[in-house]
Amino acid sequence: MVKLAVSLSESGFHVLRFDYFGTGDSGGESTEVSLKGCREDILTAMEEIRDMTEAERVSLIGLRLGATLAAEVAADDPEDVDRLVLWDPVVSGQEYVAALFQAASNMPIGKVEPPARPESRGGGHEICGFPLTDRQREEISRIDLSPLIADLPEETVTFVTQTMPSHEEFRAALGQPDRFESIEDRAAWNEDWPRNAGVVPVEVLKRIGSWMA
Amino acid sequence: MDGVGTGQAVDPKKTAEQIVQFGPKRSLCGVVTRPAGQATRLPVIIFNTGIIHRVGHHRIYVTLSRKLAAEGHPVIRFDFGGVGDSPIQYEDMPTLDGNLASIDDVYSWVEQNLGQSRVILMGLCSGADHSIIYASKHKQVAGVVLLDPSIPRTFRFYVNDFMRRARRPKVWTNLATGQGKTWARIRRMGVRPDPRIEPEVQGDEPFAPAELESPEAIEFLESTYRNAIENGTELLAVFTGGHYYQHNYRRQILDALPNVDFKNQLELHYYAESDHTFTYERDRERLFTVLDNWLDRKFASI
Repeated sequence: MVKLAVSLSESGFHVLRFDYFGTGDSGGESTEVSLKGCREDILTAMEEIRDMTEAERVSLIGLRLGATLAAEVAADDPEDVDRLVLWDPVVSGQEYVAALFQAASNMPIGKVEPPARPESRGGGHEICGFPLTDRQREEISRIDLSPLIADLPEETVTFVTQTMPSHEEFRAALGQPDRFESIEDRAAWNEDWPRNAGVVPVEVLKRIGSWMA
Repeated sequence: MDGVGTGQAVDPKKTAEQIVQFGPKRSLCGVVTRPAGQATRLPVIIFNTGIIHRVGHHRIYVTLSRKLAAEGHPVIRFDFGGVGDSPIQYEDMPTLDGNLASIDDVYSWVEQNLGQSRVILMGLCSGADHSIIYASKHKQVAGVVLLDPSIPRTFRFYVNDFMRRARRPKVWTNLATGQGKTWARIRRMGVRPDPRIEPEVQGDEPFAPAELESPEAIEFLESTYRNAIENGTELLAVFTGGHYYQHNYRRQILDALPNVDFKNQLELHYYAESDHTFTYERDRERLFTVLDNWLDRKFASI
């Protein structure tokens, strides 16, 4: 995301990236994250960059769940969003939750079921080192991006590197082939174990850069 | 000190956070977490691990910074050049030298802005290696917290490793059926490698652990640890079962570096069940408790 931000800023865009409440460096605990809160955070970020730059319209670029949240915000107010880039979006919440549990059951630490968390600490399960409370799981499971297609801004594109079955359905529902591209590249969210290495998904970054330009 | 090892969230009113850009270019990016009142304990500087930025695996350093700050420590977590939000800082230097210079930059900020000359350093893996190397050269490092630092393998390591492998039924199945990596290696013996093919593609081990068993490497590590001890630095070392290819028992560091007299300055722990990045909450809580107790015993006040 740093590389993408620098590259876009070199192309003349003002860029703001941020951590949702309860994630990264932002305040709050992981158990406090809610999708509604994340959407509000996006709106705050949009307001902030407008204030800082006096821009009237803002483009949104989101990765995975971030892409889905960006789409939900844009669909709510398409007039406010200039362009929308959905990078490996979560199209089906149920499919995403299933994938999270599968990933958590196949960690380098061993093939074990994700541990349950005590109710006193929000309940739910530990997924790859992060809590996923029952409330969060329920909220994410309800995600369905396809019905929002009609409300998305005209200038919307989807880039997918790790194709899931729901992406194919989404591609079909979009109807316009130029709004969906499969790109052969690494998953941006994976760390190679045990090398402690990661690969910048250069092809996706280049494609986002050229599409935005 | 209490509370650091518990799973309870820190009351946000007890701490305050600030983004700081350190160094001559003002571009070495970090976050300072301070106690809401007066700092009553030594500053802690946390180094990022490999490619993972200052937040740490599973947000461990955010959680830890807030817990420690609530107990009176100012805490700094930052990204080395080329990682996270920090661009490369010292282009003309090798990575290690550049990173050590970056630690100097952060340390200068601590001295000037927090009025403290003694600090505690903490890191996981490469972050641990940076911690001990810096402590070996700087007397102002009062303590280091080393999570899975790099140490040589020993005779006992190899015995334990053999026993671990021997307990896996798959090893015996492979042996009996001619499958697996060992048989593949035997089959490749005498076959000249094709220079056009990458070694990994030819089926070699996909990952080679660090070779620290050479006399030169051992001498370097012994000298590094010896100097840190002579500087008066207190050491807390926690090893995990996650680096099973590098260490596999609690006292390995003592056997691996026999010419270092750690005196009573080294506290050792081995978490056999934990992975390298403390993925599970229970392992992080256990780590926080050990750290909490160690800080209490060694650095109860400034």
